[in-house]
Amino acid sequence: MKKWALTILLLAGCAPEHDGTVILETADPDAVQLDGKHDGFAEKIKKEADSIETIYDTAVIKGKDQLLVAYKVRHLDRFNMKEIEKDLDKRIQEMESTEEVVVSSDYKIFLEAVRLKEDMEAGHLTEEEANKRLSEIIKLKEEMA
Amino acid sequence: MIAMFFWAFIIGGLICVIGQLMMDVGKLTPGHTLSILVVAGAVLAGFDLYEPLIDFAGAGATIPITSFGNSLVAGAMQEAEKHGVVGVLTGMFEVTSSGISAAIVFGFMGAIFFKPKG
Amino acid sequence: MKPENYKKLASKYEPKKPVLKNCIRAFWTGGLVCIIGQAVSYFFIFFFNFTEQTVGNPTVAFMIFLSMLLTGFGVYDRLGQFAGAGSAVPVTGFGNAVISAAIEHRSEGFVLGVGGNMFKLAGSVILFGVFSAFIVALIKSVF
Repeated sequence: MKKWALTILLLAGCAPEHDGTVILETADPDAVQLDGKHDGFAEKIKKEADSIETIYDTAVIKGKDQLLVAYKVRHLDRFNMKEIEKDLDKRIQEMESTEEVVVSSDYKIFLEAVRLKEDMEAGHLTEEEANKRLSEIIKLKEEMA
Repeated sequence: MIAMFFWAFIIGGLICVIGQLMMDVGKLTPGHTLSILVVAGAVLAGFDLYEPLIDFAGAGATIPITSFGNSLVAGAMQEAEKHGVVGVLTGMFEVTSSGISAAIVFGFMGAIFFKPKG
Repeated sequence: MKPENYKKLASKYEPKKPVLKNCIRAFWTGGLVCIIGQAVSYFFIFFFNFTEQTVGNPTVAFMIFLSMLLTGFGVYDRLGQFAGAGSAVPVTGFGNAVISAAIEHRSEGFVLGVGGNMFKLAGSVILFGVFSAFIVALIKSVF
């Protein structure tokens, strides 16, 4: 009786230790624009995504020819994930944007988007490298189970 | 994320309660119970109901054996979209393979390293 | 797990277990296994290149690895007596069924014993899973 309780305690103790604040709470990272222009287009897209009721946190990264929108869905609305994704995708496609648009509600994509943004701000990355990282994130997203 | 753990607990627990009821009230053996749950998972996947449940409950839906039926269907459908009806047969283990291969590998390792108990 | 016949016979003489109590136990133990699974999958998302989409496979593999250890040290069987469906329904229960059969029949040799009996208990889950998935996917892809 006692032994297995201990085992479970040990197993539970293996939970990840991380800088997981991004996932734990609303991070609301600023939009990042990597195409050299400063027209605030990425910021506009972030506003549009934030305006959807069921979405509470967004990270937008606009690269040279790719646009990534990562977002979190309110938990009780996660049953309708597919429709929310379609809706968001449609709205962004309508905002002209000539880039390849990728929207994702995946925690991993959100996490990587924030990591990319933080590395950008810390000055670890050139724009070129950041664009490369962005397409790596998008490749990750397209991977199927 | 906290919500995810909470719902994983609730949904995962409820699926286990369904299994327990089948055994206690329905008087089914564990083997029958698990088989029925797997079939139930496959049928739910057929109506596109299992994926939303995974979105909602995470591991609460992927850890119970019902998800085995779901991922078999998902793999078959994935392949069916690419190669038509033949894909149903060839894609079956596309998604599920890790559960079975892990069980085989670790089962064999277990047989090598552990002695049978009483 | 013991053979079915024995179980049937034993249940005749065993005093009736309270259903509600069993359900509560199954609920929280099964839920707990799922929480551990969730923690494992977040671990893989954080430290490896897995997305929520792809994390299922490594998570399941890791859970079955855990169940190998618990089965090997004889913990899982005792856990099963307490938890009932709470330990049988999660994928760790599937792992336990395969692994305990493998360990149990090792004395009959690796080919006939381990190889032949590994899926003795879990085989029906695979059979009915695969066959029903085949039917469902066939219907879905035709219509």
